[in-house]
This record gives sequence, structure tokens and C-alpha cells, in this order.
Amino acid sequence: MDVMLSALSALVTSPPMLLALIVGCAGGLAAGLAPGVSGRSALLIALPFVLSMPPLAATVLLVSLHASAQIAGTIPAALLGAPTSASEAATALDGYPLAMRGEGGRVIGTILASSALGGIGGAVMLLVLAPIGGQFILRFGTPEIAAFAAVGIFAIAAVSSSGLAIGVVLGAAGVLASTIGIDPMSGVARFTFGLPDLTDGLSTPAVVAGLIAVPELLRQYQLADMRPAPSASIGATARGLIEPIRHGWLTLRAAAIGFVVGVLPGIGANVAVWLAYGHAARSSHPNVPFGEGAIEGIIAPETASGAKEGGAYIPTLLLGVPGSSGMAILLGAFAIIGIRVGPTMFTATPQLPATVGFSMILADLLALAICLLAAPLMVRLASLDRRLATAVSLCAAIAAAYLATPQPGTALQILVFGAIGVVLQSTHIARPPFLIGFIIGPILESALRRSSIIFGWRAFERPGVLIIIAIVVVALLYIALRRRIPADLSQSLPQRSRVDRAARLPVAAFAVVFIAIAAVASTYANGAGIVPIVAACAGLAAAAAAILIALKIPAERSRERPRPDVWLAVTATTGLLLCMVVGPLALALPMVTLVANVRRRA
Amino acid sequence: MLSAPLDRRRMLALFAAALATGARGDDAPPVLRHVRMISAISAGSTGDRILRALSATAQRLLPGTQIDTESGAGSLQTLALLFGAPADPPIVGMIGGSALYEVLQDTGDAAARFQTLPLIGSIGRDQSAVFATKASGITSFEALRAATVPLFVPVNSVKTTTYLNTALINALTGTHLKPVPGYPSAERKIAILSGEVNAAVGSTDSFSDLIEQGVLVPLLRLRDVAYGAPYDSLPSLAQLATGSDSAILLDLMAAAMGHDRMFIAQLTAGPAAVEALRQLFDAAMTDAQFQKESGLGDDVGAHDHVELQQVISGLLNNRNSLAPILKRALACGAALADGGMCS
Repeated sequence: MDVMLSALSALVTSPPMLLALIVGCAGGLAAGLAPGVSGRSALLIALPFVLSMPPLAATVLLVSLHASAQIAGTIPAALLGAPTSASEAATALDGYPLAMRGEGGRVIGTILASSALGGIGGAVMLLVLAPIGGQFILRFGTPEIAAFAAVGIFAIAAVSSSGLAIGVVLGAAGVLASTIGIDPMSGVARFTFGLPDLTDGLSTPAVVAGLIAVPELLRQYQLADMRPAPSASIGATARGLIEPIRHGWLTLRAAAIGFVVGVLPGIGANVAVWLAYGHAARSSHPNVPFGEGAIEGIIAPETASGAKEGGAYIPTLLLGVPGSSGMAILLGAFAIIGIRVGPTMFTATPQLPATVGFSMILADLLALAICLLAAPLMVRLASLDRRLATAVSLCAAIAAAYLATPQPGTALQILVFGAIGVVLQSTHIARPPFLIGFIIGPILESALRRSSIIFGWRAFERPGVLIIIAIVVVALLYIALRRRIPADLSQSLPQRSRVDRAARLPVAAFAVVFIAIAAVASTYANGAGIVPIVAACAGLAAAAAAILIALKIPAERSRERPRPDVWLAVTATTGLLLCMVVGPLALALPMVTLVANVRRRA
Repeated sequence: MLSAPLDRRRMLALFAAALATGARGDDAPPVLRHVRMISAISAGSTGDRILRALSATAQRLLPGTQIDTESGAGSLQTLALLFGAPADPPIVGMIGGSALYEVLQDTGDAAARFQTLPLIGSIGRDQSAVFATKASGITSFEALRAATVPLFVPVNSVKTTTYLNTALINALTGTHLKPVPGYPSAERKIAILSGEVNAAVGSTDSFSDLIEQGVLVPLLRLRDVAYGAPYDSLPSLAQLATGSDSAILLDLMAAAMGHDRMFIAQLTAGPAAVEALRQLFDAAMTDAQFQKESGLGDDVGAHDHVELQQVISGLLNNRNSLAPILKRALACGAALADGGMCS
């Protein structure tokens, strides 16, 4: 306790530390709001500047920079409907429809408050659990990670508003997409077709931009004459601020999910966000319109995203093992500036966990205050002219994808997944299951294969695995009983489980692709084909079920939604994508150059 | 081996290159107005840190130059880029020593193409070792060799030097080390700390904290050179290796470990750009700030392009005889890793 108090006292009374906090916070916010510049990039940019600072002040700057970059990062994605990463996509799914309904202020408030509360919660857990956190990590081995990732796959059922069968089809497609590239376990090139750009797999930002951003931009074009009522008032933002408190239990659970995932190295932010989103969808009332503007769909991912940062510091500080790529950069920075981490930290720099925890808390509060003042300006993004917003969003999404994967093939990937996204959107097929499969698939595959080599069936004797399985079974039973699912499901298709007859064609196309993939994968040696074949078979079975279900639904019960104007859709998509491929884009190029110029200083 | 500090002579050489290529008063040679530095390794890794330190040093030495640094391109992607990129801007790609193994085993024209790439230099410290976890109860290499059940070694992927070296150690000494791919560096340490795996192969630097904590026990030096205490009292692989091909395999391992980070320009880079990049690399390797920021310290283990060229040519010119030996040894190592036998 004395160490904690002295760390807090040093932080708030020392001018260099306070200055470092403010500079870090301002820099983090700027980085968070810039498309494609993540907290990790912000750290790389800041690294050369902190080398000459006193070690603890440098630590405060880097920690506050990383923490505050998380706070506002998803606001542009949610307001413009153009996420630049898989974790932003979860928030944008519900944030964007709300913003389009003129509730931009509420969206901003909810994002800020959820993210800040998550960050503070994660920091508090870091302060409390630091002495025992290391032991927890060491009990969480590969079999437990496999079980945890398998739980994540359950989220597909929760976020599939098009029905479970179609959700599994999309989830399987996502898993298969994630297997593209050189398999690290066997060295086999899977589904690369000899293209060098595919040897390292698909680019996640390109997939997100294509699957989520491009269809949304198309929708903006279609609604170009409609302009939502701007709601820039502090009142609207304040209403958003209290949402995570109104949904306190959900906030708490999402923070716990984020923290636990953050603690476990190698799982990643995207998993934390989608697990929390899936959990919220699974545990909320069936009529909560997830994917169409549910405030719970913003609270859960944002809180988890904030809380995972606190968790990620536990292995970084206590074991010297980075919990994420951002933490790996921070760890390198610690080594350079002379901060000792790992088990010997408690004797070398005992105040470090407290300094980090309090820096996170203060940075979150400071960033929240700054963002609240700027909220009326931010919300104008939602009331921009749709065509202008489309151009800006497109540039942002492409710039982010290119910054993450600077290859010519990135444009092609956006193009392909943009086309898939447009088809899925126009046939009302929910796209999040694809992203979940894409994100969790590689973690599950790697953990399963490692576990089978080292443990075999003994993996199921491990207490951690049994506890995770028990928790899942109890949770599923609880949800099933709570919902009291009627015997005749077809009579009570809940608002977010409807199947569209129009989905038959794309689902049939997926089925054909699954058959082809299974045939190709069967030729792979050294176990490289196992996961693709299993995923393709599961997808094929689900596709058959989905088509049967769709055939049984009378036409009048099919989803009543305005159909997109196909001609307009084709024209707009072609125009947008042509623009994207042909040009270095008049707006994107300066943006890329600007960010690259800043980044190169790292 | 580069050992001279960044003295006036080297700085003058760097600026002479600028003048010779027609500098107009700026610090950077015109051919180096813009340089792309591309790492095959992901952000946050040791390799990425080295490349970023090199980038920062280059920026300091050549203030007028725009330097873009990109991480995580992957070895094959980086090589593909080096083969296909246009001459401008000049590119420095960083790839691992395992590329030498890959090129040797390739049945196509990879070796011939690889030899056409302009080499800049390399870094490698020759200080890899075999370790056992304390929990495994193994305290000597003899005990490791006597173990009849496979011992699990965490590695990143089957394409890494560590994976291939582990198989070669098996083939040379008869151990049953089973490399398990799928462990990036962070997860590798967790697996060692938690006892999920019971052995490790890698550089003494990367495991220094675990050795200090007593979690890992060093058993064998992979190179027959001085490592410093406490490693020098350990046996070396050369002392224990058996088999008619052992000398060839040891040389091959030495080449891959001794040039674990190779810096290569794109195929189309002009002679002036390549020369300027080489001088920049040489100057950076002796720069004190680079040594600090890269975490390599005074003993960077840098080799200039001539040394690197000799090693690569030596290997690839004898590919026809080396490749079958390597493939046979890897197959033998894999059989031993699975608890089988290999004569």
C-alpha cells in the first residue's frame, strides 16, 4: 500500500511526470483519432522521443499514450461506419446505425464512458492482482487457450442475426479465410495459388474494410439525400455517458472478459472485443437489436477493449512477456530506458505496477475530459454530407489497410471482400460471424495442434480445461432456461434470428466453395489440411441446413427490408472500387504520406 | 567482422559517396533521398527492434533522407518484394538465416535467383545453445541425450532457424528434441515458465532472463567459440557431433546462425544506391546509439557484404552436394524427435 501511495504521490506532484502524462494523453488521443494509427503505432512514433527522459517519466508518457489512444479510436469508425480494424468493427456494427438515427452524441458518450470505465477497471485489476497475476498466467497453458478459443467460436451463434445455420456458414468461411498463407505448423502453402501476396495470409484491415466498410459506404450512397439530425449537444453526449452505468452488470462482465483475455499472451485485442460482443448478444434479451443499433453492442466491446490493456500489463510487467504487440514495443522501450521488468521487478522497481496503473487511470480520466469537450465537434462527422463522408471513410479505410499491409495485393483483397460484403449485405446475411471465424480460427487451430502434440487426450484432464468447459455448459443452460425457448421455434423467430429467402443463393455459392476447398485441402500434407477440411465440412452441413430452412419459409415471412437498388449498387461499388484501385487517391495519399512521415521517425 | 567505431574516416567515406553521386549540399546522397526498410519479422520482436534502430540511425546519419520502416512482411514476401520491386526507392530487406536452409532445399531456381540479389551486410552473434527447464530435472547434455522420451522445444514456425537447428541437433547427437511450432516469442516464454515444454533452443540473449531466474539450465553450446561465463564450461556441438556429414552440417548451422539477420537490397537497385546503402550499414553498425537502441551492445556481430557474399556463395555453389545431406539430416532429426530411430 505504501508503494502504491508513493507512486501516486510521485505521479501527481512531480511536474515532469504530470507533463509526461498530459503530453502522452494528447498524443494518444491524436493517434487514436487518426485512421490506421493504433496505440502500437503511437508507441513506435513516441519511442525515439522518450529515450532521453527520466525512466519513470518516460514510462508515464508511454503508458498514457497507449491508454488514451484506445479511448477515442473507435469514434470515427462508429460515426462514419468505416472501421479500420477488426476490433473497431464490433463497435461500428451498432454505433453506426445509432449515429445514422441522429444519436451521434449518445454514441460518442457511450464509447468514451465505456472505454474509460474499461480502462480504469483494467488498471484497478492490475493494481489489485499484480502480486498474484503471474501465477494465474502460468496455469493457463495451450489446452486452456484452445478451450477458451473454442468458447469464442460460440459467439458466432450469438451474433448471427441471420440464423444459426447461416452464422455457421459465415463462421466456417472466416476460419477458411484465416488459413490462407503459409501454415506455420507444417510449412505448407494453403490456398495461395502461387500468389506471393497471399503467402503471409490475408490482411485483417483489408478484410474488415471490404466486408464491413465498403457495404456501409454503399448504403451511404443510397441514402445520400437523407441527412441525420445532428445531435451535438452536451446533453446527448451525457446521456451516452451514463449508458455503461445503466448497464452496469454488462459493463462489469465485459471488463472481466477484456481483462482476462488481455492477461493471456497471444490471444489479442480482437478476440477480447468479439468475445465481449458475443457475450452481450448471447446474454441480452432476444429483442435487443444487435447489429442494428443496440447500445449494449457498443458498451461491451468498448469496455472489453479498455480493460484488456490493464490485463496485458500483467505478463509484461510480472513475467517480462509481452501480452500484445503493443506491449512488446513497450517492453523494448523499458529495456532501452533502463526499466527492469519480470520477476525481479518487485525488488528493482517495486513502484512500477502502481505507476503504470495510476498512469492508466489518470490518462483515461484526462482523455475522457478532453474528448467530452471536443464531442460537439466529433459528432459533426455523423452529419457530414453523405457523399463527402463516403469519400473520407473510403480513404481512411484504405489508408489503414495499406499502412498495416503495404502490398499491391491489399487493394485486391479490399475489392474481393468488398464484393462479398455487398452481396451479403444486400441479402441480409450478418457479416460478424465471418470476422469471428477469421480472428479466432488461427488461435484455435494453433492451440489445438500444439495441444495435441504435447498433451494428446490428457488435455481434458487439466483442471483449467474442465473449468472452462463447465462454465460454458452452465452458461448455455442458464441462457436456455432464462429464455424459455418454445418448442416450435418457427413460431417465435426472434427479432434477431430471421432467415431471408434471398440468402439461398450466396449460401449455395459458399457451399460450392466449401466443396472445392475440402478437395484442395485433402491434398495437403503434415496435418495442414485438417482444420480447412473440418471447417469446410461444418460449413457445408450448415449451408445445407440454411438452404432447407430458407426454402420452408413462406415468401411473406421473409424479412421485410428495403431492397437495395441493384443498378445503383453496382454503379456505386464499381465507381468506388475503381477509384480505389486506379488512384493513390487524392485524399488517401496525403493521409498515408502524413502518417508515414510521422511513423518513419519511429 | 566490423569492429571499428564510427570514426572520421567512415563518416568521410559516407559523405564522399554523397558527393560522388552528385549531392547538392544536402546530407543524403541523391540515391538515398528515400529508403524503405522492410523487416520480415513482426513489430515488437527483437528483429524489428534492430531494424527500427537501424532506421533511426540512418535517419540521424542522413538527415535529408526519408526512411520508411515496415515490419511483419514475412520472409517469402520480403524476398518476393526484393525480386520484384522497382529500383526507386532503394529497399533494405531484413530476412532470417533460415532463408539459407530454404534456398538450399528448394528444387527450383531459388538459389540462382538468391545469389543475384545485392547484399548489404548481416548481423549474427553465434551464441545459440540448448537448454532444459529446471523442472525437467535434466542438468547435463548427457542426461538429455539419455532421455528416451521426446522433450518438447517451443518454436515459432517450421520455417525458423530454431526449428531446423533442433532437427539437426537430433541428427548430430541422437537426442530426442521435439520442436513444437506455433509459439511466438511471448508464448514461448510462458510455455517454458509454466513447464508446458521442457527444453529450448535459441540464442543466449533471448533467454537471458529465464537463465538468470534459474528456469532454464544451459546444456550445450551450438558453436565452438567462446560465449563467456557460464557457457564456456559447457560442451559444444562440434565436440559431441557424430556422423560422416557432421562437419558439413556444423558449417551450415554456423552460416545460418552467424548471419541470422541478413540485409539485402532489391534486385533492381542501382550500383550507386547499393554502395551508399552498404556504407550506411557499415557506419550504423559501429554507431554507439545504434548499439544501445538495438539492444545488441558493443558486440553487434556485424558482417559486411563481402563476408556475407563469401558465405552465401560457398553454400549455394555447393548446393548439389549440400542439399541431399541437409535433407537426410532433417529427416533423421524428425524421426528422432518422434521417438524413433535413425542410423
